Amino acid sequence: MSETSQVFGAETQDLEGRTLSNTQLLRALLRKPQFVICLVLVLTFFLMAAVPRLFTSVDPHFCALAKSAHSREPGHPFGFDIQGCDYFANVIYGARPSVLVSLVAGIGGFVVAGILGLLAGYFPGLVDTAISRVADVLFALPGLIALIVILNSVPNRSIWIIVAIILVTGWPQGMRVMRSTVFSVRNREYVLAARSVGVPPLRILRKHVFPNAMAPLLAMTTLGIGGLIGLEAVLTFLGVGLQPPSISWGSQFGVAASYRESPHLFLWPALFISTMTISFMIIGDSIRDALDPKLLR
Amino acid sequence: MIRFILRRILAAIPIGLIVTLGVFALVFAMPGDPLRELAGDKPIPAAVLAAKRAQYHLDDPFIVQYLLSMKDMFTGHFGTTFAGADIADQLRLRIPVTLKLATLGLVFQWIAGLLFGLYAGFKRNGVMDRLLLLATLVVLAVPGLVLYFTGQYLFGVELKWLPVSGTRDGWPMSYLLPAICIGITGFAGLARLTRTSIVDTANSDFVKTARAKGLGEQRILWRHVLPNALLPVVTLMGIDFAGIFAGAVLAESIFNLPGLGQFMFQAIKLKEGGVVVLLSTLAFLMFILINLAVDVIYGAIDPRVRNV
Repeated sequence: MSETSQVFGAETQDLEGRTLSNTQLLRALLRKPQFVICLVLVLTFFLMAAVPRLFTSVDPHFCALAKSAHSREPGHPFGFDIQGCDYFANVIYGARPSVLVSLVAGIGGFVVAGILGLLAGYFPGLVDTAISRVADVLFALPGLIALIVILNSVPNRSIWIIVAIILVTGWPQGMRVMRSTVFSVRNREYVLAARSVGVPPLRILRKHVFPNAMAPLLAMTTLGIGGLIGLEAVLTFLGVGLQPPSISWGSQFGVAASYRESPHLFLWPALFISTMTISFMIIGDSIRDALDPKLLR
Repeated sequence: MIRFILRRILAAIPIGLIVTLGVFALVFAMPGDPLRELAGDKPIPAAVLAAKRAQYHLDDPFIVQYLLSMKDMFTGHFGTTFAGADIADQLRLRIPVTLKLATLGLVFQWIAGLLFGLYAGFKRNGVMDRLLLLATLVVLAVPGLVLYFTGQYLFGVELKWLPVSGTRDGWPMSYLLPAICIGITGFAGLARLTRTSIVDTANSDFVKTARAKGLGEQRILWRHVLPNALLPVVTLMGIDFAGIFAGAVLAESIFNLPGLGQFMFQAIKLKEGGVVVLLSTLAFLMFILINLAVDVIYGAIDPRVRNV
């Protein structure tokens, strides 16, 4: 079942030949206008999640039932939700779960998949077998179903628990990508040279293998962050994610689904979540293009 | 070939055991008593409760419950759900719904993905190619949930071209909208992969050799580029196929289609371990069979992997 790695391998090319140093990479990225715009957008969302008060002075839990599902009026640009709370404030406050998922599940997934992939690729035999078999088991169960089953058995679901469970079930794909690139790197001359002068394995992994094998996984992670944000929304919509009174775009979709006559309830969170995922996607695309030496020629 | 298939099936058995055991353990670990929750606020006589508990083996230890439900599954006695519906009847009603939805969705997805991917791959850097890259970026980036709702609102509620939800209008009208949504969410990845794969193959050394030998462009395309470029595409199509049942959970709950995904979701909510394990096993069997089929097709198009 190593076919997945081929699929991603075809999109994220193995780095042969010249690679960029970190400053060169950053400079190449900052020269692209679309990258800069998306970076600014993403940072805005991060700020929104960290300090929502900067964007709205209205309390999202302050509601007037008389204004239930009213459309916009001065001072309330997005109108009101079903309870008559200001919808703009609610959409702003809803950024936090999505941003947390994107950051923590994205970085955490990179770390978990990276470490397991390094170990599996560099130590064939027992370690590789153990990690790969566990991955087979996790892979064999449709991802969403596993998540629903696990999340349903957790009574108090916070965003951290959701992220943790996404991490536990989601690492096999990234692990396989990392494992296959480590396979192609582990017998290169510089690794053999390091091994021959007696460098301890952990140091070889950290200093020589990881920097040269991480690019495909990095590209896959940044491209996948958009999917993670959507996944959190889906889980919350299905009722196995965040629970009220937590505010999130996913739960706003859930409410909007039963009140079709007021489309503004759906429109705004949809616009915000799509902007955020598209930004992450374009950033991921730019990083992959910048890392791909074929395009540098 | 037969040995290869047998070996794959043998290797799948322990994975299947662990998967079903794990799923059953998770359902077992869910908080709350399923029968009491089903009864709601009404008091149940202790004798009825005890009889029900005995019927569903709820008082047995975990491993006995698991073995009993596995035995039921393999002997074909699926029994009834906690609410009293016959599970075999439910399957008979629901499998066609999911199957229709999944096939129609996959047909849309594969046709759109392959067509656009092939076209963009051959005419790369043309106008269509750029448009396609932009379109796939948007489709990949917009969360499925948003896309489903937008489709439902636009074509169902506003324009009234297609039914909003349910299966009242029968095949194919009721399935068109959800299937198109599944197709749109899935086609982008396929189109991109097809394009990249074709571009990569067209630049490879053996194609240059073929051209240097003086072969015609048509022959190069059909005999050298396509068979090699389609290898990763076949894999992705297999993965999509295996994953479509998980995707069906979302589509069925948004469009209110009474299929397997919805059944699974209800069973998880009601803590019906037996049903959840049964459906997980079905999903797992599909996964194994599709992977097997992909490997067999692989052997047919790529002689290099034939003798693994």
